[in-house]
Amino acid sequence: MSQYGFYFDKEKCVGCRACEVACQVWNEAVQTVKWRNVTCLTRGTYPEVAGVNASLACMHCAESPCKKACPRTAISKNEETGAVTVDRTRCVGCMLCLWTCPFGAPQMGEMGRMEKCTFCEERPVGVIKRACEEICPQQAIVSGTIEELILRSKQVAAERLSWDARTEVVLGHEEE
Amino acid sequence: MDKFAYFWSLIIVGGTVFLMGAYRNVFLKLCFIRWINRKIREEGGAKVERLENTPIPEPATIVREAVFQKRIRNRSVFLWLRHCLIFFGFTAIFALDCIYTVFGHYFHHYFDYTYFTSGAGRAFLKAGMELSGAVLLVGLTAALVHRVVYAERERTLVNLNLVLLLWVVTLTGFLTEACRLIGEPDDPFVDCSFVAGPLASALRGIDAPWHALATPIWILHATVTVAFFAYLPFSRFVHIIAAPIGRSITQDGNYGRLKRERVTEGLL
Repeated sequence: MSQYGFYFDKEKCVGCRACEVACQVWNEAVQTVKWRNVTCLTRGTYPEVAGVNASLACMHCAESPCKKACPRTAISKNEETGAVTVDRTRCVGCMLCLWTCPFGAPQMGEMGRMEKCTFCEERPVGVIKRACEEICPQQAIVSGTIEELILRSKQVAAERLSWDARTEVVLGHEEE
Repeated sequence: MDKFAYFWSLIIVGGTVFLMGAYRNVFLKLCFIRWINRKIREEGGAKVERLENTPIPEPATIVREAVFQKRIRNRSVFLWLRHCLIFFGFTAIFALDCIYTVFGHYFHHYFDYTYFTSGAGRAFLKAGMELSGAVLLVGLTAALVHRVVYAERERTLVNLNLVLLLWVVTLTGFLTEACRLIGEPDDPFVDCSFVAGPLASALRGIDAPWHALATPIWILHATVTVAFFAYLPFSRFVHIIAAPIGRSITQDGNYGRLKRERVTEGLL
């Protein structure tokens, strides 16, 4: 089984919420609440202001706590992609999955059943990008296998460090 | 075997299965959730005050979601009415049954307490159980009819077998009481049995050995009732236990927003 997931780059996200819209449009037939949420936070006062935007949906965790917490075994993991999905015919809307999810991803739908990102299950994995990924103007969201995403994360970090103008930051010699 | 010996054997078996189910499907899940949330807190990251403390069920959410069923009310008045009839009928008859078992049976047996066996309390319990049983039966019948008519749409929301089982429990309850009234036509509280009383009158008109059937029907009622309670934690009815806990603690979804804020705060 390959474990797919999302890579999110907070440095690139501009908080435009295009991912939220794309997710809603693509999953219009089955979605009654937002599965992807952009949270924009600012802290401090001018001129010392820091801000960040985070586009969060289900991370399709390898050891999905929501799956373990469900009293009805309504949450399952796709054997091919590792995507975590909710079977609404089994769900009773008790919200224990939301209580256990570290990312607050599962949402209560209008029908009283839990809903969450399905990893765009109609889109062939590895062939077509996920809806949120495809629409993102900054390429802040990238999907792929966890191995690919870890590699990408390391590359991005390395690139950013190499661009850092501060002379004291030398990879592997931070303390010197 | 004496019918009460059978009944208590059933209670022990059914109760054990119920407790095993509740332990496996609710208690262990809650322990896991507490453990994982504590682990997340201990591993550091951003602090969001309301997520740091042990979550306490929010009474307002319980009232809104469990008592008034606002979410179902927003979807449809019919579905809301149906759910309320089942919820209030089930809750009331269960509570009255417990009162009758404790005060009417054991207090009478051990302390000679007669208020709920021959006093005004008996009339109150009889009328209350008849009313709540009737309310439950109406709600379940509506649920069954709606489920059959709108089979495709309702499949995700209503488990036909489960509703049918509870419907049989309720119906056999009335039949049991009617058979008892056929055998005891001089029951001083017959006026309180405003459903089982007329049912007993109607059954008297049918040529059948109702008096002899009273015990088998009572045993059938006891068996399906215990089967229902034993099946409860393994079925959709587990929401009776899990939903008030989960929904009140997650404050009807607000908890999710706080968790997303915590993750975002950690990225800051």
